[in-house]
Amino acid sequence: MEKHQDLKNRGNNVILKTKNLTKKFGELIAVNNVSVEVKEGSFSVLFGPNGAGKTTWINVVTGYLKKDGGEVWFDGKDITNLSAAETYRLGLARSFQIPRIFPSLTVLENILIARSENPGESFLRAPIKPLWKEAEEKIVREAFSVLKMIGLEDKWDMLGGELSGGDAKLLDVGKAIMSGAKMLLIDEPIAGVNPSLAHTILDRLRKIKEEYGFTILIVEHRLDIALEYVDYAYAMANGRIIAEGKPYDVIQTPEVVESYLGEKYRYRLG
Amino acid sequence: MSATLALAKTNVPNFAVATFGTIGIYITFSCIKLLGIGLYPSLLFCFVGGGLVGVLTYIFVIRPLRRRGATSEEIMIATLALDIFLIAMLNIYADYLTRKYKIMARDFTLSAYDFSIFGLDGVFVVSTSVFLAVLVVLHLIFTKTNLGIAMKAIGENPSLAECDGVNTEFLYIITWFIVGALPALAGAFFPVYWMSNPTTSMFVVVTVFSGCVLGGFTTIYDAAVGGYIVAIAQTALVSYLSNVVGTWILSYGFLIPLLIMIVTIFVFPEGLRSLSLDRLLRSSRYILTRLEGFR
Amino acid sequence: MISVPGVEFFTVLVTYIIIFLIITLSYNLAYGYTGIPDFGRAMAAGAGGFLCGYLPGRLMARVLGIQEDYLENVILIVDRINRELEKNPALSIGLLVLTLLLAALAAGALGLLASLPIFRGIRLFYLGVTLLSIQISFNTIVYHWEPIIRGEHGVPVPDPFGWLPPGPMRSIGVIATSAIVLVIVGYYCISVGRSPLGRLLKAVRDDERSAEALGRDVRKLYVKVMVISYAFSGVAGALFAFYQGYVIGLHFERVTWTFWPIAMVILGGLASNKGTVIGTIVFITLKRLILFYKADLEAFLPFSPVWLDGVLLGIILILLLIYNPRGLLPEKPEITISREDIERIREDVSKVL
Repeated sequence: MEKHQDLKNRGNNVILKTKNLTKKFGELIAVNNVSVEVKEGSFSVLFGPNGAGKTTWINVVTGYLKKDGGEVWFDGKDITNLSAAETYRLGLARSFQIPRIFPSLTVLENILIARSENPGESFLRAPIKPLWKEAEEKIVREAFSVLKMIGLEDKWDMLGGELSGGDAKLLDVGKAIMSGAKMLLIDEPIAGVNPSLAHTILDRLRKIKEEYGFTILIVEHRLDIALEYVDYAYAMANGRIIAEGKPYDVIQTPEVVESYLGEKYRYRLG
Repeated sequence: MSATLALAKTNVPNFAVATFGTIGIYITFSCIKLLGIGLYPSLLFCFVGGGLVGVLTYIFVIRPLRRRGATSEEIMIATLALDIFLIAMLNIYADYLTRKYKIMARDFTLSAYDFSIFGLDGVFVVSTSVFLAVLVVLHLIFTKTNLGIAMKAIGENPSLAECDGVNTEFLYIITWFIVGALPALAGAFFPVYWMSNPTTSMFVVVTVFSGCVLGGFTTIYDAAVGGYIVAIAQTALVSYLSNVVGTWILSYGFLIPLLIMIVTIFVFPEGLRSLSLDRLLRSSRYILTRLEGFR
Repeated sequence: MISVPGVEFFTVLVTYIIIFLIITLSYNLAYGYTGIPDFGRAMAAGAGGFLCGYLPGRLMARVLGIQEDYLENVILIVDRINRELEKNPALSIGLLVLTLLLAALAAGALGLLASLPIFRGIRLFYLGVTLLSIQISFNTIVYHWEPIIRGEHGVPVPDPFGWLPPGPMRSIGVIATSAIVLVIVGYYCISVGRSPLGRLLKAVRDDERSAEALGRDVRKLYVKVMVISYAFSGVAGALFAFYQGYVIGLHFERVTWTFWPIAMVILGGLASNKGTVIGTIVFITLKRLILFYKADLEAFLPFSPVWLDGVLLGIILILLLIYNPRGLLPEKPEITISREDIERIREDVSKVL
C-alpha cells in the first residue's frame, strides 16, 4: 500500500484530461459529460460493466470516433479534434481489445516496425544495406530491451500470428512502448486470459510503467484481479463516472456497489 | 445483376459472369444451327445450360476453395482463371463447330432469326419482358418464399444460418444455378444485335461491372437500375457522339462505362443508394485534397 | 516421330524466362509483399512494348532526316533504320538504353494512374474490377487507335541488335541485355524483401489500418510500389518487343501478361522471391514445350492448340488455389540483419539489464 501511495504522489502533473466529453449514438448517450484527469506516471483502471461506455470513451479520446461535445487535453495540448494517427504521434497510444499484431511478421519485426523513422524504409536506400544497417542495429538493440521488458525475448523469431492471446497483448504493449508513447490506453488487457497469466500481464505492465515512467490506463470489466496492481480507479456506469479514487475505496462507495458490483462483491469485500 | 447476386448472396466476387453470358450466346447459336430450334424457344436451353455451368462452378471451384478457407482475393483470382478457361473452351467449341459442321462459328449475328411486332424488334420486346419477369420472380423469391429468406440469411451470416437448420448446401447450389442462368439468358439476346464470338465477354465485361458498381453490389434491384443506366448511357452517348464527331468513336464506347465506374468508386463507393448531396460534396472535397496531395 | 528440342528452342526458352522473371519478380513486389491484387499488370508490359513500336522508329527517322509519313511507309523506313543501326553499334546501344529507360518511365506513369483507385478501405473486389477494366480499356485503345502502332496491323520495331552477326550472336545479345536488366530488377526486389522496407510492405499487406496507426503514409507507399513495379514490368515489355521485332495491338493481353505471371508467383509462393523464380521457370518451360509440340498436337486435336494455353492456365490456377495456395516455397520471415548479429545484440542487451 505504501508503495502505491508513493507513486501516486510522484507526478502531480495531469497528462490526460477530458472535460464534459460526450458521445451519442442516436438516442443512446454512450459517454455522458465525462470529466477525467489522469496524473502523469500513474497506473489506473477505468472499470464498469459491459456497455458502460468505457471503450467508447477510449475511442473518442484517441480520435477513432468523433465527439459530440467536450474537450480532450493531452500533455498540455488540446487534442479534441485530432485524428487517431495524430494523437498517436503525440504519444498517446492505445491497444485494441483484439491485439493488432501483424501476423506474418516475427515478434521482433512487430516491435521494430513500431519505430517509424527508419532510413531502410526508403525506396531508394532499401536495396543498399550499408545505408541503413547501423540504424537498424540500433533499433534492434532497443527492440530487445523492450522485448525483455514484456518478457518475449525468447520468442523473438516466432510469427505474430502464432502467439497466444496473452503474448499478443503484451506484444501490442511493446509496440506502443517502442513507438515512443508517453501514455498507454489499454483496452481489456486480461480479457479472455486465464487468471495466472492475467497476474503475469498486470505485473509486467506495472514493471514497464515503473521502468519507463509511463502513464498507463487500463479498461476492465473484471476488477477482482486488476485492483491490486493499480493505484487509482475510475468507476463508470451508463456513460457517467460514478466514483473515483483509491481502488479499494472506490469499490466500496454505495454507487459502485449498487450499480455494478452487486451482492456478491459486497459480501466478499465486507 | 447476376454478379451482384453472387457477391451479395454467397460472398463470391464472380469475374466469370460475362463469359457465362457468352455461354448463353453459344447455346443459342447451337440450338438454332444444329438443332433447328427457333431463337426464343432456345432461351429455355440457355436458362438450364447456364444454370448447370453455374452449379458446376460452385461444385468444382468455389466449394473446394471455401472448404480450404480461401480469402476473397483468392476466390477472385479463381473466378478470373475460370473466365480464361471458359473463353478457351468456347474457342475450342467454335473450332469444333467450324471443322465438324463447316459453319461459321465466329463473328456471327442472329438477327435473321428475329421477328418484329408492331414495328418493334422482337428481341427488344422479349428481352424487356424477360428482364421484368426475372426481376419480379426474384423479388417474389426473396421476399415471399422461405427459400428466398433463407438465401438472404446465408448471404448475411452463413454459419449462423446453418445453425438455424438452413440447408446451406442446397441453397448455394440454387443460388449458383441462378447466377449461371441469368447471364446466359442475357447472352442469348446479344447476337441478335451485335456480332458475337468467343471473346465477346471481354468487351462487355466493363459494362457489366460498371453497372454492378453503380448499383453498389448489394441488392438485385440496385444492380438492375445500375445496369440499365450504364447500358443506356453507353448506347445513347456513343450514338450521339458518332453523329457529331464521326463513327470512329464507336470503337471507344467501352470508355463510358469505365468512366462511370471510376467516378462511382471515387465519389460514392457504396453505389447509387448512398447518393446524397451531402455525401457528394464531401467526396468531391476529398478528391480535391487528394489531387492536391499528388502535386 | 517426336521431334527433340534443339539449340534454338533453348535460346528462345532462356530469353522468355528472363523476360518473364522481370515481370514476375516485380509483380511479386506489388502482390506478394504489398498485397495489391493488381489484375492490370498486362498494361505495364504493354506500356513498354507499345512504346517500342511508337518511339524509337520515329526518333531514328527524325535523326536520319526521313521525310515520308512514318506509319504509311513504316516497313520501308524501319528497314532503312535497321541498315543504319547495323553499321553503328554505339548508336544501336544508345537507342536501346534510351528506349528501355523511357519504357520504364512510361510504365511507371501508368503505375501512378493504376494506383489512383487504391486507397484505404476500398473493397478488394472494386480494386480488382477497376484495374482489370483499366487494363482492358488500355489494350482496346491501342488496338483501335491506329496512329499509335497501327492497331491490329502492328509495326516493326527497329532492331538494336542488328550489328551483331546474325544467328546465335543476336540471341546472345538479347539474352545478355535482358540478363543485365534482370540482375538489376532481381537485386532490387530481393534486397528490398530483406530490408526494413520489405518488412513495412508486409505489415501494410497484413493490416493497413495498423500500419497507418504506426505513423506510416500507406497511400504513398502503395503509389511508390506500383510505380516502381510497373516501371520494371515496362522494361520487360520493351525487351520483348525488341526481341520480337514487331508489335501489334493484340500483344500484351491479360492471359499471358497478367494471369500466367499470377500463376507463376502463386506456384512458387507469394512474397517468396526464390519461389517466384522456380514458378516462372516451370511454367515458361511448360508453355514453350507445348508450343514446340504444337504441330504434333495439331494432328490429334479437332481444334487449334493455341486454346490449350487458356484451358491449361485456368485449370492450373484453380488447382493451385485449391491445393497449394502458399506455394512450393512458402513465405518465410526475412531478417534484415544476420541472425548472428541479432543474437549478439540480444546477448548485449541481456547483459546490460
